Amino acid sequence: MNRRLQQFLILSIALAAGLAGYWFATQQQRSESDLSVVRAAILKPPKPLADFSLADHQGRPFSLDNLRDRWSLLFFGYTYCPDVCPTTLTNLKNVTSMLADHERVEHPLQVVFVSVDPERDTTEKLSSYVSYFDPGFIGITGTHEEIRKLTRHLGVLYVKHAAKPGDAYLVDHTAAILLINPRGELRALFSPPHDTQLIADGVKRIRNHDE
Amino acid sequence: MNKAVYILGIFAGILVNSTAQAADTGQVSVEDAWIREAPPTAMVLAGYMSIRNKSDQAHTVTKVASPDFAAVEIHGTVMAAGVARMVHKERLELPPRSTLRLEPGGLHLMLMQPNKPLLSGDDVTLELELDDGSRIVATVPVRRP
Repeated sequence: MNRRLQQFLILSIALAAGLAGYWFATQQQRSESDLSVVRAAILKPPKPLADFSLADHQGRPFSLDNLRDRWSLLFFGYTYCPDVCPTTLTNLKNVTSMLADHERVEHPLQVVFVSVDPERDTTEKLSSYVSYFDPGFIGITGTHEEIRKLTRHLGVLYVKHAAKPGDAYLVDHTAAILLINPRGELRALFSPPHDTQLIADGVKRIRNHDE
Repeated sequence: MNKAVYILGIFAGILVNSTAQAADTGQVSVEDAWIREAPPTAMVLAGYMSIRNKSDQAHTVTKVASPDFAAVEIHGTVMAAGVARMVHKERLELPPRSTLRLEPGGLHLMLMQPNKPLLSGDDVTLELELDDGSRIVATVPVRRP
């Protein structure tokens, strides 16, 4: 074979391989940040939240600032809730485990459990409750006035059930998992029933898309 | 001879264990029952199970009790517009030849105020009362899902 032709062929093959690799990489990147397949209500644009003043499970102040510079998964409930809350917190533990490999140092992911039952959920109770599911989980609560500053902007509802005398009362509450972006804005809402794989995938795609 | 007694003992043990796992009245049985382990300070735990009506007659669970808890109620989690609401059930209907599943996010037993902290590996006793007066006593394990 002509030497020049041989060189030309080798160069052509190398160029084609390079182009194919580039195309594949961009496709991959695009598909990993494709929001159209995310099974969540995505807010466009994200919804800003108002400031609030609550305390975490170690008694430290927790405000809107504590939702900034990181991604947060928020869930509202109460520690007397035997079914939905433990199920959801176990799911959230699984979601964070699935995302552990993708954890970013700059904007890490935190899980925040907001108790809407401050009468019964003391700091100690909240502490032992959230730590049981994951030592890294954060529990927050405070006065109803301050809790409502947060729930109002998130579209979260909670209603205390009038119980029979002597009975432990129950609280109806929004069971969605909410994703807050590093600017402290509501970015997405995952409605029940929750599929941990779909939530983990959704969080990953939204973070890839936004960052 | 000693060996035979030993083997017999193992079989007897298995038999006792399996009856504890699938408590039965002959017509209605409780299967795959478990209690969700809860944080140490939890005052309320949830119990799940399958209740199988193997007979051609309808049955009703009229009451659930436990010597290991102050009170037991049957609850259903109902989702309405994304809000989880607990509905108290007085009874559970079991149509002929059917299985009723109590599972996370749906029907469950609300077990209030355990007599002692319960951990994965512990067993609790649950008693189901049926409309015909029969009772199912089940030994149910506590576990962490």
